[in-house]
Amino acid sequence: VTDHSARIKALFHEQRDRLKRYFRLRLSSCSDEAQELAQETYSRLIGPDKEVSDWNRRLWCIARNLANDTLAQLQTRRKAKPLLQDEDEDPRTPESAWSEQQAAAAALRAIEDLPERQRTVLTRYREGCSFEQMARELGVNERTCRRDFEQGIVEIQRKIGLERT
Amino acid sequence: MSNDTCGQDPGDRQFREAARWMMRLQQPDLSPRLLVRWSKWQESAENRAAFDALEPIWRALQPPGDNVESTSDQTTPPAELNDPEMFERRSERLQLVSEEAAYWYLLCIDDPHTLRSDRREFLAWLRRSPENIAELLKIAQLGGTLRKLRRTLRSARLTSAGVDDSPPWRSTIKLHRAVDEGSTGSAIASLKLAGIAAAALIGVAVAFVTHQYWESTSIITTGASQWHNMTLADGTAVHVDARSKLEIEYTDAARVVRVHEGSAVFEVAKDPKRPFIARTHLLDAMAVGTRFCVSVDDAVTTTVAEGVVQVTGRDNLNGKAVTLKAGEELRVSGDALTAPRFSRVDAQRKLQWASGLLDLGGMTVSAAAQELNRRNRTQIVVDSPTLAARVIEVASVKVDSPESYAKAVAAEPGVKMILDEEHGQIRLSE
Repeated sequence: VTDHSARIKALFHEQRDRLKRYFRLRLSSCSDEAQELAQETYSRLIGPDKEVSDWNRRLWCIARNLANDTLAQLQTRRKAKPLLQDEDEDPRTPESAWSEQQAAAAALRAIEDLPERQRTVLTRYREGCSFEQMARELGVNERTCRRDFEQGIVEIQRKIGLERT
Repeated sequence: MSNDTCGQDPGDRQFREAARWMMRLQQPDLSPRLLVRWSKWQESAENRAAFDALEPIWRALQPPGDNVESTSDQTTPPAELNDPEMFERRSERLQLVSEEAAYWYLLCIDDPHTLRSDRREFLAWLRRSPENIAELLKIAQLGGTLRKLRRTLRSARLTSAGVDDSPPWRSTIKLHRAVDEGSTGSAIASLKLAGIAAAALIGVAVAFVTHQYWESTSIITTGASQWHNMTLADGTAVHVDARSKLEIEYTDAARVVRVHEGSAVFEVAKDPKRPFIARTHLLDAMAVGTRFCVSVDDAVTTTVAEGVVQVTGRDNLNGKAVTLKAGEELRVSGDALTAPRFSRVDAQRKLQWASGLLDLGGMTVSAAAQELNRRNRTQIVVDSPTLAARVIEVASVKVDSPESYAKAVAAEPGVKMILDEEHGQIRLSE
């Protein structure tokens, strides 16, 4: 049991920050929530001492399923939002909220300078359009839209980086 | 993907890779193999820095007021809003529900002499969809409003004397008479009474529906892709699996639930005076306060997760009794209770379906497909015998989602998945 626990603990310490990064991105959640989900992943992993050939893979499998389940719960909660207005509090600190707003404003300014197709893809994405739909509208492959999106983000980052320097 | 750790600022390549990972990570069915690669990719400090730098931009690009999405593709507004045909189909369906509700309202709520068979059919219609219940309640409200209007007209002596508009329910008949007798009084008093009558009518309608519902819960039937969770009067929780049939017979002496087919997990509330018995054609499984499952197929399987269950043979097995403890399972077919065969099982894992998840880890593709197929309408067909015999490591999948398991299998190298919507099949091959 000690060996098993020690092995899981070591794995978790190694993967904790990576898990947090995953949850933050997957759920667009703040750091605290990501931390809680990473902890939950660990709790599920230490369950019964099963024969598992690859613990790392198991860990990520649990993380993926936990993210999917949490997303489903959040979506349900969002549907019930009108009834739960009071509970809808921003979990971010004022500083992080301000810093995110600044980054968002800079990103949106930078979109305007992108090549036309990248600009269209990023704008349509922000409007809630799927890549499949964008591909139909633009008459290109879905993969092309995804690539434009990737390149667009990188380009925005470059511009923001230059602004800072 | 890069794994080097030279500690410099991230370059274009790292940013591109980070952006690609951001896209990939949005996929709900991303394979654990890829996630492990993503974890390895983060070993490099440059890669991590690139990812962290892009994250605020990614957030800024999420649709406003909607920053929680399971996939980028799910950011699409409801399909019916973009698809006029689908919108029309939905309108037609709602129209149909409305018409059906009106039909049932007149037949079963507004008519005191409804046939028993009609009521049963009405109940089945109600249980088919929450939309049906909502629509019926709307019409019941409207019914109340109409009566109120009619009474208002009567109090003002505007209705013709020959029209028979007496309401069906005794309570409302009394009120109706009161209105008639008091019609010489003020219109305001009549309006008040009419309001009470309308409220009483809605109350009676709701009581009728509720009463019928509780009366009918003595038999619970689920079809493919249907699960049912309920709490019985004594606090016992019952989780009914897909394709199952149960009958509840509670008396003062015992709490009996007949399992005719399929499976059910019972979380029995403690009541030493009234034992809880799950009765099948072959045996009785008796418990006082415990968690166990009874499954009926060509045999009867009793699995105990917590506490102790006493299994007693019925009919030709009469008199034979064995005791099962937590983590034990007993499968009985024919006269097997004379020489019972216990097996040790991971009961919590086996009964996990009751919480909506199936742990398919360590199972062959064939066995996992079988577990999902016997519960769902959509069937997984494994075309390749070598694939059928392979063990593919997946964590728990939702019990009603064979698609997610198939996608996890298809994420393995060399595995193909074909969705045959026409036949309701997902075909897996190598």
